[in-house]
Amino acid sequence: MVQNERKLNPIPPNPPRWEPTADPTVIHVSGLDTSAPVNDQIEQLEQLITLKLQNVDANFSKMQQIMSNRLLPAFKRFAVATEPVREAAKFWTSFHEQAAQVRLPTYGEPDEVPPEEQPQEEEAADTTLRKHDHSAATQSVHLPVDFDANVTPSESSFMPAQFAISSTPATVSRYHRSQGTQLALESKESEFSFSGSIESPLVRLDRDIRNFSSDDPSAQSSLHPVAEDASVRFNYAEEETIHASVYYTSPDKGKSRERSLREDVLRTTVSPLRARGKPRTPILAERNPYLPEGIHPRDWSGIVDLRDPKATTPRHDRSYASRQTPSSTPHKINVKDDDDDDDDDDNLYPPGMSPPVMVPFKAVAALNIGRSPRKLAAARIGNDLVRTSRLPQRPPHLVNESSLSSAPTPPSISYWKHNESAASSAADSTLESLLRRVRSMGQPETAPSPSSSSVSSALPAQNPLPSYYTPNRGVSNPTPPPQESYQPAMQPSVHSAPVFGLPVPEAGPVTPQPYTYDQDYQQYDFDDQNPDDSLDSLDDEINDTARPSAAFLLASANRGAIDDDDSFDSSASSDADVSLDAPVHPFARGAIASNNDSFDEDSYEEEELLHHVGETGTVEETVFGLPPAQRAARESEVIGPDGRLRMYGEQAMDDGKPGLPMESPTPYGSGDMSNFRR
Amino acid sequence: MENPHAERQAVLLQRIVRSADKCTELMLELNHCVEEILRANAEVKTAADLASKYRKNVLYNLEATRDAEQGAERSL
Repeated sequence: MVQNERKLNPIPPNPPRWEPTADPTVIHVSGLDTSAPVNDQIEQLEQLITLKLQNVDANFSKMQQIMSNRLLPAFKRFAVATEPVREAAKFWTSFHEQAAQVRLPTYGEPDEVPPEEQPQEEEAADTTLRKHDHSAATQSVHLPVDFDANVTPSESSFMPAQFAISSTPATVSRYHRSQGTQLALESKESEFSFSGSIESPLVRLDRDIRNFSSDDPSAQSSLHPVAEDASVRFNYAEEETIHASVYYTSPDKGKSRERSLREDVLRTTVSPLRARGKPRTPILAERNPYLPEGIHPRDWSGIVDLRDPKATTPRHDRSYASRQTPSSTPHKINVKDDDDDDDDDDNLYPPGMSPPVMVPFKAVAALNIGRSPRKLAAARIGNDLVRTSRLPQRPPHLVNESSLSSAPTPPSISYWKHNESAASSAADSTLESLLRRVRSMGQPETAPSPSSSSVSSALPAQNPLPSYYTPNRGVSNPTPPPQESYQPAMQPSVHSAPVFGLPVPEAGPVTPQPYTYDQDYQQYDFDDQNPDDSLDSLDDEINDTARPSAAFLLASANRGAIDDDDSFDSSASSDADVSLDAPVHPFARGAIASNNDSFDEDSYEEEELLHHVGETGTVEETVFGLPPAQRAARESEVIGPDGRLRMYGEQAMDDGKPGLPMESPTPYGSGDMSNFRR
Repeated sequence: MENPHAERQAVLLQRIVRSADKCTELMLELNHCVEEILRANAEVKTAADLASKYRKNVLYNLEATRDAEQGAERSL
């Protein structure tokens, strides 16, 4: 390459640019024969123009050839050749991170991994802890000079020069932001920063966020590295073994705007010791994988050009992947490190470093203190949430659920919290009565008709069913109705209450949930609608709200049968859009007097439930029965707009949507979205 | 009479435009390559910074401990 460079001729300087002037006499053209007649001069000018264009064309083509034949291949060869260097750097950064990580949870206690490193760093940290000036004096003196000498402003703009040094999360993120680090986008972010290793995952997340979002021009970054070096340096030693809390005390420099945001995030972060048990990762806007580089998350137009393959590549996945496998580097110093690191990674480096913005699923599932299977409920909840999030549209009348389904977890959580808070409400009676009813129904299935009739009679009397399915009319209040419905369930059995509170509203058709789901759902449905029903037997089963599903099923089935006639008529007259309504409370007959769409669902479901109960013999306590979406979907599936039963799959045909019909008859394990292709 | 010139110039301009577009694409590809290299360099740089930082810390620590030991020795 150097030889080629020598052969190149020096580029002749461009002739002085022609300044446009109104006076033609002033214009001077070098090659023009001014003595010739005007037409000849014109001819000469034209020829000169043509020649100039030819030169331009030749230059362009030459440029193109050189670039394609030499430059690009050279760059690519260089990149390929330096890959080992990259790997080594990556390894060492991960090595340092792991070394810091090990110490991190113990807050400076020596760890077995890099022992020689720990005590030294600890002591260094201890001595320099909160003695910024002291360390700064010693360190800042050298580093800025070194870095300035080695790094040109343009390079520093690209490279987070003080990446490893800026132990202070604030500094690091500030630096990132100022630099508009595109580099930070890569997986290396989390690894090469020693401070990053010290930082809690939340800090790293924050940094990544800034990297994603910050696209400040490199010009800005060039200014900051020098200024930040000092602050960065002295923090480095401190941070290696410093408490996570120490971050926040570090001096702040750089952009106050970023700093405040970062600090706020950091303050809310969970300390490494506390960061046990997988925190969930909220999908922050900054982590938008489709966020084009250089665009602030807030400025994202929301339009993703899928034609560009890069746009579809989740950028943060690599960071996650790299973070998850820091020990996968070719060089492994200690096997122990890997093991420890894995544990640490799980605890400290989960992709979701920041504290869960939303209540983690585990907590939600844990609410169901009853005998319901946590995993099953959690899985169901997750499926519901996924379903709701994937639902393309929400019927307008299901706004109450829309608020819930818009964000997977919050809705259920909000339900849950509301239920908890509204412990004492008039719904108690409804729930108890419902339970009693269920119990009575369950025991001898002789009483179903009377109970069901009473139930059915009570249903219409009951008003706007405080269940999911608020009368689709424009949705009155999104949350109150569902909360009310859940409240009753809360009362009698604290254990099962949370279960009731969890029903995830679903705007559209939902794959049928396990039958146990329905049972609970039905239970709480009863509460809302039949306060007068007396189910004394249920009182004893307060803790087994999910149990009396058999009775429930039967009763609901009977009720459904009774109400079918009404429901048909009403459903026929009801809004046609009910077919796609969000899950309707299975027993929300009272409220749905106007649209008794759920009746058939109930009967349909209950039959299945009964069937299932017969199979297993024990009703699996679950959160609740079919979510309203399922019920509505199922109902819509069963009953067409004209009120008559429709054939299976007709809805799919009517809607013109590809895929299977809304729901498959099999309630089992349809939690997967395979059937749900809307 | 300008037609022949205009034609020739138009042809040349077309070629120029085509070449310019090609060059632009090549430049963009070059930019991508350079960015990747820069990222790699940044990683290397951070690793180097880590090592240098570590070394500095170690030296500082040694200095501190040495002073502490000397102090302790003198006191004893």
